[in-house]
Amino acid sequence: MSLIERALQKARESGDAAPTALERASIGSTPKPSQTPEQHKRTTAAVELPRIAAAPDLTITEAFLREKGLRAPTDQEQQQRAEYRHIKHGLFAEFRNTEMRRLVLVTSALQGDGKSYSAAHLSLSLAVEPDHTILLVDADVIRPNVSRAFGLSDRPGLMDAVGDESMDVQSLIVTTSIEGFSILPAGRPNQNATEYFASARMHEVMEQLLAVPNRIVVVDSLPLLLTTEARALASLAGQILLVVRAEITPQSAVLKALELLGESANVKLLLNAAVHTKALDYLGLGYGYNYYNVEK
Amino acid sequence: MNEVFATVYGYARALWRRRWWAVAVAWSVCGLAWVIVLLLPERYEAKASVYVDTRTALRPVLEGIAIQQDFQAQLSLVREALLSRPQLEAVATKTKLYADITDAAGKEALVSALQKQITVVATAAAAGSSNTQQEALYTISYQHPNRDKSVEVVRTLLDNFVEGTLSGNRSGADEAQNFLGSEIRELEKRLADAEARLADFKKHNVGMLPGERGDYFSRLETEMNGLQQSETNLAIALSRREELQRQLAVARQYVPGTSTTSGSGGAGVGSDLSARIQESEARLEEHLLRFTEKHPEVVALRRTIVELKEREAKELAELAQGRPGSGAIRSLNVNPVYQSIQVQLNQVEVELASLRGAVAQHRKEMAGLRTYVDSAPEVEQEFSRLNRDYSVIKAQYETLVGRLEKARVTDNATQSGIVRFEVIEPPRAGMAPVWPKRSLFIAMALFFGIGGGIVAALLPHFLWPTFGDMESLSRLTGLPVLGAVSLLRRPDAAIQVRQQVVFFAAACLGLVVVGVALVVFGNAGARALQSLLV
Repeated sequence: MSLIERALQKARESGDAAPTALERASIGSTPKPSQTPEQHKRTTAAVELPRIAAAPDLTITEAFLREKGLRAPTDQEQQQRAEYRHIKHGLFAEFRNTEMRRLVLVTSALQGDGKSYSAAHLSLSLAVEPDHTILLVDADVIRPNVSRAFGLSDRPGLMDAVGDESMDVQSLIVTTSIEGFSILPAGRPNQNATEYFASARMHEVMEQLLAVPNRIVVVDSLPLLLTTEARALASLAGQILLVVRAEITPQSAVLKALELLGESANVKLLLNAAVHTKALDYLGLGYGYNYYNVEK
Repeated sequence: MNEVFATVYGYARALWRRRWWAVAVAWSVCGLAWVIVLLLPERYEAKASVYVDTRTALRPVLEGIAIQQDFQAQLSLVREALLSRPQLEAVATKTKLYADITDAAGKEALVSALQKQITVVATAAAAGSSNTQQEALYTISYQHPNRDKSVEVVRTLLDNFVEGTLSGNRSGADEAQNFLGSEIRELEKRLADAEARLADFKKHNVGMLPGERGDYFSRLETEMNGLQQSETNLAIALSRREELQRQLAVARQYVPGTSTTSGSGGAGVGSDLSARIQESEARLEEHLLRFTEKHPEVVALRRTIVELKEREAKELAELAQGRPGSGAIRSLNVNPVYQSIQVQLNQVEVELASLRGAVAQHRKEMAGLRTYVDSAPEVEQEFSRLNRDYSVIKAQYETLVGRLEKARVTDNATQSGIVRFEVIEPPRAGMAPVWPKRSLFIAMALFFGIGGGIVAALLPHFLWPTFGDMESLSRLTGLPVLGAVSLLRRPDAAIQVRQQVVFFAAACLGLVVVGVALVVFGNAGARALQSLLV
């Protein structure tokens, strides 16, 4: 049984029990064993959040995920999981630098490269990490795939928070039954939404989101070349993950997107929908994580 | 090496991604090309080869005798002339290439096309030693949709070619010969006239002509000498006659008859009369010694002598008249001296007559010469002019006759082989059309179709490249690639892929099969298609 399934089971069993890890995520973080209460206090000095209901807003099951198309066929599941794990570790290597802002901006050059898909899966993969909680932010207000995928289309979200200064963005976060994984929906579409991305308010909102200690914010944003918002968000990000769709995204687009981001940006690449065949494995060009295919 | 594999694999994948594009393009290109190839009208090529050798054994023999022609230049000229507009128009008319064209522009276009299409290629077989190449192989070739027509055109051209070269001499030679012939005939006429005039002149001026008789003055001199000579002879003859006459007068005609009279006529004439005369004359002489003429005896004697002489004369006359029988006659014999003198006298008379005649002749001649003293030089002038005319005409005549002979020899030499024509290959056309090479074209179309399909599929891969693997992504961007997420396969992916492969293979194979079928049955298919559409 996978970790997620165990978590789900626990959630079912626990009902109204003591705050689960999910709750902890929404409330705040518990002190790490290595940290002294003072250190912990310091890291969580920013905001004291009101307690949120223990029950998760969103129940995520395997069936749910499968239904939403967020799961690979059984025979490829291991492979995909391994692949995202691999990517996650790449991200973590940066996060060891504590100065690094724990905001990963997932973007791409063009539309349809797999930003939302990648962001969701990365988040799910990151959520398993014991030391961190993950907040998946759907910043793609024009095509809020993440919000739709998780059924949060009609919920208030990022745009509402940015649009209304009085709104507390933390209250809009949707907790899920997966421990350490929560989602901030895109929110209701707004005429002036695109104007807000470069505004100080967006800065502020992001800062508020980042204030929660040990939280990694994964932001699913807009195409770099097709919109201007992603660029605005790029300055807020600690890491930028550029998603490239194999055999579909033109090289020129990728290079242009990189140019837009600039030399100073911390960009990493992710090759999505890459070709993987046995032939490639034989030629040594593939990366089959077949080691995991252990017949039980 | 891995990169190579990766690149190649990338191509393969790109091709597979757009395989149906490739198939569509290949089929379209092939289909269109095949239809065009099948609809192409066939062309048959007719060829003829002529070997021309101007280097034969006759040449050195005829050098200087027959007119040497530069056959090479001539052949080049003929080739140019062969493809000239009038020639081609003639060929087009003869071979009915003008079939449907009636307007002048169309005809001109056809002739221009012919000029380009008919090729006359000359390949020199060997280089001659002295002047230019002397052997050449000429190939005439022409292509036409209709096989028979192409052969006809080439045959006509070949005939024109050979004809043109040979009778480019021969007609020239014929013309020359005709011209020479007519000139010669005219000269003959003039020559005859001149001869007649000369003969006439000679006839009219028969004595005046120089030549055997020398010119005028020498002739005059001759005549004068002749005259002188004849006069001298005449004088001599006259004096001889005088002498003879004198001797005759003195001599006695008759002498008394002696035994010597042998019965010759005239020898027995009155011998007693002549004896009595002699007697009387002797007495007379005796008397004259003593007496004078007045003496009566002397006178009587004289009278007697006279009478006797008269009688003698009478008898002689009678004798001469052939009245013999007088007694006196029998007794007289003619004096042989008298006879010889008489004979000599007769001779001299004859001679005199001839001399007189000669003198008269000379005189006449001289008179004649003198009368022509003024006109003789003119006559001579005229004569020499006529002669000159005659000789000039004659010389011309002989020259022309000589040339005609020469030309004839040349002509014969030509016909007998100063230029040797050998038709190596008579006009023939292959049974199969020489164009289009349908099999080749169809195969090429297939090749290009497949190529085009591949290009169509791969072109985007090259024009707008993407990233196929992490290595290239990392390399080209210079940034780390955290990882790659595999493309998810559907559960029935394997079957799907197999199906797709089968379809694709079927499409490709179908194309190839159709191509092969067309290669094999191309010409038949072409005909069928053309008959359908045309």
